[in-house]
Parts: sequence; structure tokens; C-alpha cells
Amino acid sequence: MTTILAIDASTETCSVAIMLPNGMHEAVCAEPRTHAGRILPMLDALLAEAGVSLHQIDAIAYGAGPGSFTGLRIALSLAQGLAFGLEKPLIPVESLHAMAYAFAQDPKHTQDSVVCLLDARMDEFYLASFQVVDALPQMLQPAQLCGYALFPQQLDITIDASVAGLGGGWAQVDPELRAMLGYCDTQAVPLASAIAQLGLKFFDSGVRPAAEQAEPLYLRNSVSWNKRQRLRQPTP
Amino acid sequence: MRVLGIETSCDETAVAIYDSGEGLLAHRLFSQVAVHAEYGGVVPELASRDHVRKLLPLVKEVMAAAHTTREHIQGIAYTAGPGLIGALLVGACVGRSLAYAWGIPAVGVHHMEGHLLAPLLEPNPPQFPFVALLVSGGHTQLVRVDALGQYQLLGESLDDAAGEAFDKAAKMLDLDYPGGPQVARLAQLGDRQRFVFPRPMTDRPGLDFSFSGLKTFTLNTVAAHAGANGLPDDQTCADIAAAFEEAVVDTLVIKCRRALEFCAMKTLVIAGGVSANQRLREKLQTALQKIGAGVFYARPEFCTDNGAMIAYAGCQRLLAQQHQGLNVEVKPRWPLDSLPPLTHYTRDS
Repeated sequence: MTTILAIDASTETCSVAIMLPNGMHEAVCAEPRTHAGRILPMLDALLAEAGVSLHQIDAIAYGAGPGSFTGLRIALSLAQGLAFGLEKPLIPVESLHAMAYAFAQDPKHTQDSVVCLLDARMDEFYLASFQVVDALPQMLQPAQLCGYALFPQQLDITIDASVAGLGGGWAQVDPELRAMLGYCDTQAVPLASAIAQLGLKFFDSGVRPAAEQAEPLYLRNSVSWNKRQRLRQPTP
Repeated sequence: MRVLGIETSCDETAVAIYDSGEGLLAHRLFSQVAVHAEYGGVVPELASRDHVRKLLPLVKEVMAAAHTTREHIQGIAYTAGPGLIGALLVGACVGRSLAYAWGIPAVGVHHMEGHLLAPLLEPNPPQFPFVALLVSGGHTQLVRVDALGQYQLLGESLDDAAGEAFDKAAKMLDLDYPGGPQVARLAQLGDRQRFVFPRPMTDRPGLDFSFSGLKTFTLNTVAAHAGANGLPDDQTCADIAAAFEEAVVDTLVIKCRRALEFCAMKTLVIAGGVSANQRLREKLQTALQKIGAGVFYARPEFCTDNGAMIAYAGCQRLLAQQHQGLNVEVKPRWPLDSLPPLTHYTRDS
């Protein structure tokens, strides 16, 4: 039986989960800018609570993004140290996928599709959409950047009562559009418990990346870092 | 005690293994200079991203080079500050969680203490007490060092660091980043007498520095001789580089000498990137000889950022039972004289 450790710090909330064959243990901290200080102590307490040792963990899953660049690196760097030190695989789980998964798993939810929207700053959202099939989210639109002004045009699906909206990005959307959703949770964030469950699915399907291969999903790779203007002609 | 050291405070990813009995076993560094050169300076976000990519492969490489497996490593040291917060976090998070996974202690090291102690890794190390000049792209400080871990700030730059001034002067002369070695190279072709630049804050008492005025003076001199492309002719550029370097070096030499006299000490240690400057080393040697004092510095690769100095300084702190809890803490600003004293010190045991 497999034990998965999961860490997420992709938003202002950070979380750690240990998923045992017989249950889930999770700790959540919603205090921004303290994640680096909180995660290992939270993990240590969870291990004690679950009565397992670090060495019983089979794989480590981390919230790969998109999300806060610094947060993604905190979760990944901590997870890398653990995975490398314990010689276990390090499995990336996309943060928006984890949000949709937690939603789809809840039997109370009846919507057919999910649109996850997190604020990416610089007048953009991180956006992804999923179709819910048998309580599992299937990707419709992969995680991508979407300018405030291009929402909802950039969305492939029509917003109506069959759609659930998840994530803080929805708080910035026109309230009339938001009111057309069948369900909306602007407080929803990616959580380690969902990352652990998705991580286990990937692990069971044979995904076993080494710790040093991991990289966050930043999406924004060409932010306007200004290149330098030179005065002399470059010498060939 | 065998310690793995990790340095990611700025634009170099560096790892080393130091053993208190056997000395330095291995050290490796990935320089990001090429990543940042086209931006004319360090882009913090790009630096952090590159640390994530490079750190674990480097740890593996150093362990292999040191013929060390995880069972032999008894502690992990990582730079906890001062530096770029995003860059520091990568090394601190990997270092702290790796120590947790291995069940060994970890300690966050002060980057400047690392620099300050780097000359102790050399075959002929300085003896305590001494005065240290920490001079890099981020710092210009004079520190009184009575013993390991006992530091007293004597003076520091009130504005730009000396290395930062070198980088900015290089930019004005359209030289590549990092600017220090480029300005120094160009200065060798220049006439050191043609322009006379001010020696800031040397005509009044005290041990503080200021380099921002020198920067303005350089800018004005460049502008006064600029041709159509905004730059003076090549010889004038070289002359300006020479005048600039002379001014910075003279200022540092005057203050070092003053600090030694103030502390009544005969040993000066210079550390940090600018301590690799040849002109500074020559002029210090000459000036200190006159007062019967000596100058010590690290080998060139340990003047700039490196993992060896972090492994070494961390080893001393771990031997003194100073450990970091599971909470990862980094400090972008961190006064050197706020460090706890070190009661334990051995070089060989």
C-alpha cells in the first residue's frame, strides 16, 4: 500500500498532507508570506499525528503551479530536499487540476464543468477548464494565462448554470457574469490533500520523476525583464 | 564533522563539502553570469529559477567528487542571508529539508561571515584578531574580528557598495556585466594620471564609505568626452576606467589603514568579489608594509560567492551546537554583528 506526502504553496494558503491507505492527514495555513517557516513543522506534526515515519513515504507530490513564483519554489525546494534525501520520486501536480479534483470528488456538486481562475497579477489570470466525468476532472483547456480583458472570450465553454467557478480570480470578474455560474467559490485554493490523491494516481500509473528533474509550471516565462541597450556595435 | 554547504544568495549556485578533520573535500559552482549579462545585472526572478534547476545536480556532483555518501554527511549549512530573498529561499528550503530527510542538523549561515572566514581555508591562514574588509557587489564593510563569531562593524558604505559602483561604471563605459573585472582590464590600458577622481569621505574622520558621488563623477566625465555614439574614444574610456579604479582602490586602502590603526591591529583580511582586484591587492600590500601590517585574502575562486565558505562557516556553527529548527528562515538584511558568538573553534579536530 502506498503512502504519499504532498506539499502546496502556490497561493497565499499553504498546505501539507500525508495520505495513508487508511486515511488522509492534512494541515493548512492561510497566513501569507510565512510558508517557508511553516511547512516542515506542519509536516513533522502530521507525521506524529499519523504515526508514520518519513521513511514510510513512497512518493512526494508537489503543487507545481501555476501560482505565486516564490510559493511554487518554496514547495518544490522543500519537496526536492525530501525526495532527494529519501530517494523517492517527486511528482508534479498542477494546482488548478487539484482545485478541480477536490470539487469533482464532492458528491454534493452537480455541475458538468469547472473553470478555475487564479489572479496572476499584471492584469492576467491563470485559467484552466475541466469537464467532470465520473467525479473526475478531465482537462478541456490546459492551464494558461488570460488577460483580464480577454475573459471570458478566451474561455472555450459558455458560462451558464452547468459551470462551476473556482478560485480568487472569480472575485475580479464582472458580478453579472459570475451570477450566471451554477456554483462559485472565490475562496477555493489548491490543497495538498487533492495533490496527494492526484499524485497517487500518477504514481500508480508509473510516473516516477527523479527529484532533480522537477521544475515549477510558471507559465509566465517572458515577463518584461528589460534587456540592456548597448552603445557599441557588438563585435562579431 | 563533515558538512555539506549550499550557497544561493545571488547569481551563483554553489555547493561544497568541508570536513573539520580533513579540510575541504570538494566544491563546485554553476555561474549564472551568462543568464544575466544581457540584462546588464542580476534579474532576481531568473536567478531563483536557475537555482532550482542547478542545485540538486550540483549536490550530486559534489558528493561524487568528495567520495562522500549520505551516511558520511553530519550537517548541512546553507546561506540564510543577506541576499536576494527568492534566491536564498531555494538553497535554504532544499538544505533544510534535506537535513530533515537525512536526520542531521542544519544551520543558516551569514553570507558575509562566509566571506570573512574564507581566507581561513588557505594553507597560511590569518591569526585572530584582525580587521576585515568585506567588499563585494552588495557590501562594503570594515569589521573588527576578535575571534571566530565575534564581529564588530567599524564602518560601511552609506550608499552603493564598491562592487556596485564598478558595475555601474562598467555600464557607463558600455562594458559587459559583471563590471569589476572588465573595468580592471580596461584600466590596465589607461593613463592613471589623466583624470583625477575624488576619494570620497577620506578627508574626514571615520570609517564609512560613499561611492555614489564617484559614480556621478564618472558619468559626468564620460558625458564630457562622449562622441556621437554616446561614448568617449577607446583611449579616453581606458583613462576613465583607470581613474575610477584608482579612486575606489585608494579610498579602500586609506580606510583599511585607518581601521588597523584605530584597532591597533596588524592583520587585515580582505574578502568578497572586489578583493580579487589586483590593483587593490598591490596597493594594500604597499601601504600596509609601511605600517608593518600584513594582508590576507582567499584564492580567487573563494573571493567571489562559493559553497566552500558556507560549508566552512556552517561547520564552525554546527560544532558549536548552533542549529536551525524546522522553520526555514531567510534574512535579506542581516547585520553581521547580530550573530551569536562561537564558543567552540577548531581548525583540525
